[in-house]
Amino acid sequence: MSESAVEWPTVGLTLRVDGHEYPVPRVWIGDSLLAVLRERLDLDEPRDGCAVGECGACLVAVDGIPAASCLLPAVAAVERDVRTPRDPAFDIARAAVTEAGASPCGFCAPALAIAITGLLRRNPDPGPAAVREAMAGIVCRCSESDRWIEAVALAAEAEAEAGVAIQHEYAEDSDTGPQPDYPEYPDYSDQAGDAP
Amino acid sequence: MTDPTFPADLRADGMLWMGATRSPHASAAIRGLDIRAARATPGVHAVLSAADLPGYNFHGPRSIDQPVLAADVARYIGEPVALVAAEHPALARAAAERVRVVWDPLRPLLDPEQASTAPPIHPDGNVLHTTTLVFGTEPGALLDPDTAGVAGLKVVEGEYAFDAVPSRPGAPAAVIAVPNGERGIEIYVATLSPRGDREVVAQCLGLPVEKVHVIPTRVGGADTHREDVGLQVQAALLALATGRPVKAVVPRDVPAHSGRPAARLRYKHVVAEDGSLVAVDADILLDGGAYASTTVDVLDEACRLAIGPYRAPNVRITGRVVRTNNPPAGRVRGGGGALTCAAYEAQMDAAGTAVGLGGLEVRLRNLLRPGDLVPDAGDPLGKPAAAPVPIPDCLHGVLDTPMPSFPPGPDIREYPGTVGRTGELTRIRRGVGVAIGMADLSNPAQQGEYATAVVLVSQTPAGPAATVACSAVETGSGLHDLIRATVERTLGIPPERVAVRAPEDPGSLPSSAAVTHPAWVHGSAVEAAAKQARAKLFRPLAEHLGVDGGLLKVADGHLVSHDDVFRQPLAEAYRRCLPPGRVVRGDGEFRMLTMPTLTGTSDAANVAVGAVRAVVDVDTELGLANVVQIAIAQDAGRVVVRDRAEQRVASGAVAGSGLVLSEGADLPYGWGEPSPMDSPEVVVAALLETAAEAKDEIGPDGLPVAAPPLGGMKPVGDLAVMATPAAVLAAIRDAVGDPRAGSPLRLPLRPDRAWWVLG
Repeated sequence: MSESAVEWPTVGLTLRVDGHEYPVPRVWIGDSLLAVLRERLDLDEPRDGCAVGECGACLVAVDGIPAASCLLPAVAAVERDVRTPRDPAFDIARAAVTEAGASPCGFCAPALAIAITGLLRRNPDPGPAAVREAMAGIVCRCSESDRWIEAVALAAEAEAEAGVAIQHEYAEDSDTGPQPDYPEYPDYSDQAGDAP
Repeated sequence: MTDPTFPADLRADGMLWMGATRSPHASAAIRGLDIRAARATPGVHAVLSAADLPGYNFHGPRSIDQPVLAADVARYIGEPVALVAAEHPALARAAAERVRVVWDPLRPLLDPEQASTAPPIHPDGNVLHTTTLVFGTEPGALLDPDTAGVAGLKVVEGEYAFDAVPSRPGAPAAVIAVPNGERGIEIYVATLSPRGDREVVAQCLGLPVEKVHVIPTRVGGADTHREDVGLQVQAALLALATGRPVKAVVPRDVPAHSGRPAARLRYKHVVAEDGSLVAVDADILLDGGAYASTTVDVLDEACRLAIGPYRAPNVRITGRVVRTNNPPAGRVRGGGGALTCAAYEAQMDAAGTAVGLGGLEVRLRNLLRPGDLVPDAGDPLGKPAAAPVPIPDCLHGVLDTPMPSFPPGPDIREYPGTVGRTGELTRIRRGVGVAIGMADLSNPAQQGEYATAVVLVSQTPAGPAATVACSAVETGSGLHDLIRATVERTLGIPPERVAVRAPEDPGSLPSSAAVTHPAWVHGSAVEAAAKQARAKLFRPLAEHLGVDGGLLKVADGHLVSHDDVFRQPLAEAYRRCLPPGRVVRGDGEFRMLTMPTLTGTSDAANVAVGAVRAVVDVDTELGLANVVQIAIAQDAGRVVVRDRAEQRVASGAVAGSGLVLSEGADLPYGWGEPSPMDSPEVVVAALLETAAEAKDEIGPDGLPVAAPPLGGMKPVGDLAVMATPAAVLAAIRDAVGDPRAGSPLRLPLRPDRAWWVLG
């Protein structure tokens, strides 16, 4: 780096978070949505786990789709509908996470609520493998996936009771689109290897 | 601040961010430092180096050898050299990059095998510690393959190498230091040991200890051990220099604190034709990294647990931990046994093959029973194992667990490799492996531990409620749940009306040093406080009955006297004794003496055992392994919150399968921890409760002490971390055969190291 002054371009922007408009003055253009949500708006959920898109703890919903807020520049979130885990839209999933004991230390609990809600919008009745795949972006070091599968089942049940609508518009390009909801190999049963 | 908070979520007005200049070299002398460009960066308020530290530059949990900031030499990649405080984290990073360090790179010592002959990287040499445990006939006499063959004995040799695993907790390591005028400096951090940290920070800052206040935030975020006090000193130093609060967060690509050491184990097992173990010779080498941290404890524990829960009449175990220019290592999830279990269990399988009986049969013929000798540092001849050693019950538990169906699928996400690089049915083999793990509870290096707690009981519209003030840190292990359950059991107040808060005066009170047994030490302090509160609370009733308040207990929703003559519904007792506005306070403390004091008089070694069965699908072409199911049964001592205990065990099993298959040091940001796609179904087949309730015993100093067998404390979760890798490895061998002899078995067993593909 040169000895010249560090360039520090800033911009004022307005974010729409959980249905409220927040004007945020003097945001560094390199700041992520996560940094602005946490450090400028004092919203501690999403969490800052790795800041490089590995751990999934910073999930928010942007225009209804789960996104890693540490990888999304704040300036790119202007005029988008940003929902943090505190939004009532995730209440059902949060309650399910708590009930299933799916996040022992609580650090990933907000991200789990977003991921579960996002999954159920695409696929209201996911099987265990679909749940595992949908949650694979959240790296938790203190739970096991059986509890996450249980949490999704609880949330699915509660959402069905509450009559939450499914967003079909992006169900098609998802892994869990129309039937069958999983990729399948041809039947090899006549040449299968030795079973134990 | 009273509610538990993640330290990274704390903020203060005018807060600055810490950035650190770190060594790009594994070993290099520092010839000069120019901070002018960094200091001139806008928004930067301070740039400091080791020369600015007013106190002592070194800290460390055992040997005081780790500098807060490297002064004249850097000994590992990522070691901090200079600190920056700036108004934005990106500015702090940019300024830290502008600190110009004149490096003089030296040849790094990276191979622990060469440490004892290489030039010393510390003044006191590279060999940090050696351990030798011997009993019976010197195994060397039995190990000569020629003589052994004549006597009808088989010698089974094996070498095993584990990679180091850096510590990357789910929540980043974070500290916020706040200068507070006359009061001194306040440090908010998810430490497990506020009292010890306070002394170290004061010494490094050159402040009287009263001027330093270490306040535990009491939720950690998925890591049991957070012991790098250096980060606290760094943040505090910047806060004092700038007069403003400073937040320090360790970025993901540098080790947050000491990780799992690399280990190399060489074994020779001598086994008779009938499968009985004649002798075991084990040699263990740990790479302690650049600084001592706690690797000496890890080595000692690994040596004591080097042969596992088996009877062996002749044993020689030698261990060394050396310094290198790798990042500092320290505590290991699962304890020292997590470094040895996969190796000794692989040896037992190999012994089974050598005598033609199979691994399980050879294990059964040598199972440790109460009274059999186990290696013990306190006694060169070994110590007899104390009852119970319920290995058969554990084995029944896991073997009775129903097997998952084969083949996997039809969903291809159930195949090895899941999505993207998926195995195919024609080349998938399934294997089943069983392993037994053992943890010992008599660590002779155990330091004394101490905890205090306050329980306040008052009436609310919803009913009686309790507030617990203690410094117990929730790291995801369920400690706060355990505290609530303890209050419920003692006072009959449901968990949802029990709040766990920080001590009222955090500056003076947090005096817990409960690092290794937090559930036991904090739980006991809370129990003592709750009992005192109960005695005070129901004193009016007790006086009416003419008994001491301490003799009234809570059982089945009733308040009952010790002799069961008096019995009253709890709601009524509370209504009579706890009018609105009355607040009853109970104080409790618990002190665990140092382990030699605790077990020195005991003739027996307390152990905990567990068994794991792993079911693994292996792809024979891609080298992929998918752990389908882990079944585990263990001796859990005393279970207070069953759900959390099961969770802890299951999480240990997931961590264990990651340790054997994916976690390693070469993943830059990487987790290696199994994602939900890779993590197995975990069946907790049994948690055996083998311990009676802890006794209330009063020591000579008037404080309650723990009486063996350690109040029912057994390490829940450690056995899963320890035995799961061994069981997964056994299952892989079952599926695809043994690796070729001669080369060490290197773990984690990632696809590029899979012997069945390479062979």
